[in-house]
Amino acid sequence: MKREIRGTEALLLTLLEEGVNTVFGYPGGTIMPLYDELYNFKEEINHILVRHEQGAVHAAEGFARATGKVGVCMATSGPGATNLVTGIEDARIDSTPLVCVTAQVNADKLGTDFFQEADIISITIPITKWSYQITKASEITEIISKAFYIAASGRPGPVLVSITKNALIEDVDYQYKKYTPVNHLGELLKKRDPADTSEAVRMINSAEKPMIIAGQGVILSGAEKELAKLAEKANIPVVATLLGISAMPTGHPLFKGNVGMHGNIAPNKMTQKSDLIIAVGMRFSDRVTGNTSKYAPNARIIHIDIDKAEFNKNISVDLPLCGDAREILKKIIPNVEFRSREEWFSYIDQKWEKERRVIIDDLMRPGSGGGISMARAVDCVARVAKGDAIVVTDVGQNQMFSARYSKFRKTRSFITSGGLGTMGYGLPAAIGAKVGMPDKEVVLILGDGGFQMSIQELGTILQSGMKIKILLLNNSYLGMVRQWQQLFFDRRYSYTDMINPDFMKIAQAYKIPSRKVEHQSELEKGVREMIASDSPFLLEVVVEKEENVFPMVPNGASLDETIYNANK
Amino acid sequence: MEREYIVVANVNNQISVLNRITSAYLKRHINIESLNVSESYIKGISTVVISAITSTDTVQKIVNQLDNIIDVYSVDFYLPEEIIYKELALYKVDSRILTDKKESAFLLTESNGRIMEISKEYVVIEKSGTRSELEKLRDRLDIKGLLAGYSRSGNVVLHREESITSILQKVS
Ligand SMILES: Cc1ncc(C[n+]2csc(CCOP(=O)(O)OP(=O)(O)O)c2C)c(N)n1
Repeated sequence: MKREIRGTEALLLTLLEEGVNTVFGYPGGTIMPLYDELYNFKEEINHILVRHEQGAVHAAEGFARATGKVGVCMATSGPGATNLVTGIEDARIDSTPLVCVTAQVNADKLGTDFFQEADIISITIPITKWSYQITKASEITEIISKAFYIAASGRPGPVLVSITKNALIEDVDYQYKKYTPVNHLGELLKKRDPADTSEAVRMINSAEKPMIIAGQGVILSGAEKELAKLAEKANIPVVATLLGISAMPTGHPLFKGNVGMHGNIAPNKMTQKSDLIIAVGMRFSDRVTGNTSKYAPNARIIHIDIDKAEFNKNISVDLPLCGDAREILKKIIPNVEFRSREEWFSYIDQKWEKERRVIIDDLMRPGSGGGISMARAVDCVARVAKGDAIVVTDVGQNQMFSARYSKFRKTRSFITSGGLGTMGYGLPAAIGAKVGMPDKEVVLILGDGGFQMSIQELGTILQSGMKIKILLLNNSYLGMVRQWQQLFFDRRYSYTDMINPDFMKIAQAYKIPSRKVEHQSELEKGVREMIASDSPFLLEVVVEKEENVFPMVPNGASLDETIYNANK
Repeated sequence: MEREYIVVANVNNQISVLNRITSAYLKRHINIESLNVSESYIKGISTVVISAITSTDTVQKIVNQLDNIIDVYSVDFYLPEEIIYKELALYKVDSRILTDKKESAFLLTESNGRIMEISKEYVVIEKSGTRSELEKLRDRLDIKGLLAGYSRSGNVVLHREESITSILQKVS
């Protein structure tokens, strides 16, 4: 049935048809007709008013990562739209499905430098999976539906739809039709032929020291069960990339930790010793591989990914398998055989023994003098929240300690900015995660630097009353940069020390209950108070000023060249 | 080894697709030597032909990334010798050439130029060919002090074997 309505209503009705109930946004002149329409949709659409458009796009990312749905954000033309740029690129590089809707000046004014006109289509071409400028109301429904399809299908990513003001206010015959992908003749696109997995099975069954590297593709394709099944059936250890964390419970006996620059010792050493790497939904980022020419010298590599542009991009692989990770794993599982691999597992145990001996035991030893280690703070959250919280992090040391010491039982529980390493991501992403998963405990772990990059979003928490638990690890330094200065620039601490505001007063101003912990002995009590709190809560932990994250594979070094302390 | 590669993409004839394609070159800091967009014989589908100097490895990666663009239906890369491709050039030549028998014979017969327009001062010549053929003539005229203007189109191509309908099937 067709009916004549305004473009704005057509847009919101289409969002509802696409299953949207939450949007993050910020109004402005050009987008006002849409905000006027949102006023009529208060029951159906929960619009979260952020304090900066970058907050809207990161919140949409956090929402998408926690729920598996497409995140939606809105901004006005010009500065509203350009403020989305960092988040859009963050979503592209981390394969996060987003639909970003921005208003644009009237179609007949395009190109005239009209007030608040920015060419957001051109600005975002290299950072979006797809974009489109709607200039007629009649295009709205089809394009919005297509935007959702593209954002979520294949390798997910951000889509930007710019809508000129005239299209928002014109009338249109509304009729929703879900987008289906067609070819140039209008025929439905064929499904991809399933990859032939027989060679993969042979390779797995003949491997002595195999390992599975789980990337975010496992989570995106919903292959967590299949991952565990393959590992269990063939008795293969599993390690995770930064974005693959929580795809397998950290307590699973076959889960052996994280690879990468600040990963665990065992997974990195395993990479160099393994004779078969099964890489699932990951992209061999330089943060994972270190020096690519010395990466995995003894291993054949099976690379499972939905994006064929990833094959042989950074690392050449022996068997690329293109397709949905879940479908491919399902085909492999029935044919793999159990092997006991005692030697291989005892090698892994030895490396874990070393990690405890040279890294963990020192950090965790109670009353070891000095300040509070970030590791202990994160570990304390892991124990108190029992691995059930969604942990959202910012970027820097806080992020790496969170990745190393958090515990997870459920998937989609670790939300962090990987490929772009965007400071200021944490707070808004935590807001998005909490809005998406209101019944879950959401713990945000961040540093004093990153906190202040999006601190205005405390206003969003104040207004929407979300019970987010914020663990601020305050070292009064841009810690990760300071660490590199210490290790690689002769301790020349050039512009990394921070004179900070009184965070307790800031919390108070935003009516967020808070506590500051300065001594080891108060740490656990503080964390318990934070987790037990029935309101948002800010726990500031004053951590050791010059702590470093170890082990570390220095930038560009091979995985064999791990350093364990500041004496190298 | 770096050499000329020609990328041929069949794309949905839509506003921003050309910028998306060139952005993949820009991202890797590769200069585009020539670019041509023209409608194919299928309505709504344009053929984009880009030539750039790069390595096989890089052009393969660019093509993989181009293939991910939603509005690109198909894309592949070729060495110049693998496809039939031509460019068109226009030469603005001093009209003195008409009195120089040897040069005008060379221009019109040997190098297959065609006179488009004659004025008192200039003759405009049209010639098609590969880029190096076109440039050879340009350089010759230039050295003789006869060249007053030169303009070259991008490549138009036809593949020796494939037809575009057979390569337009993208999977969902
Ligand atoms: C937007 C942005 N700017 C700069 C950087 C570079 N950078 C990476 S980590 C870091 C320091 C972070 O300091 P802080 O937030 O205090 O966290 P810590 O490392 O101390 O835990 C900086 C500046 C970045 N990642 N993102």
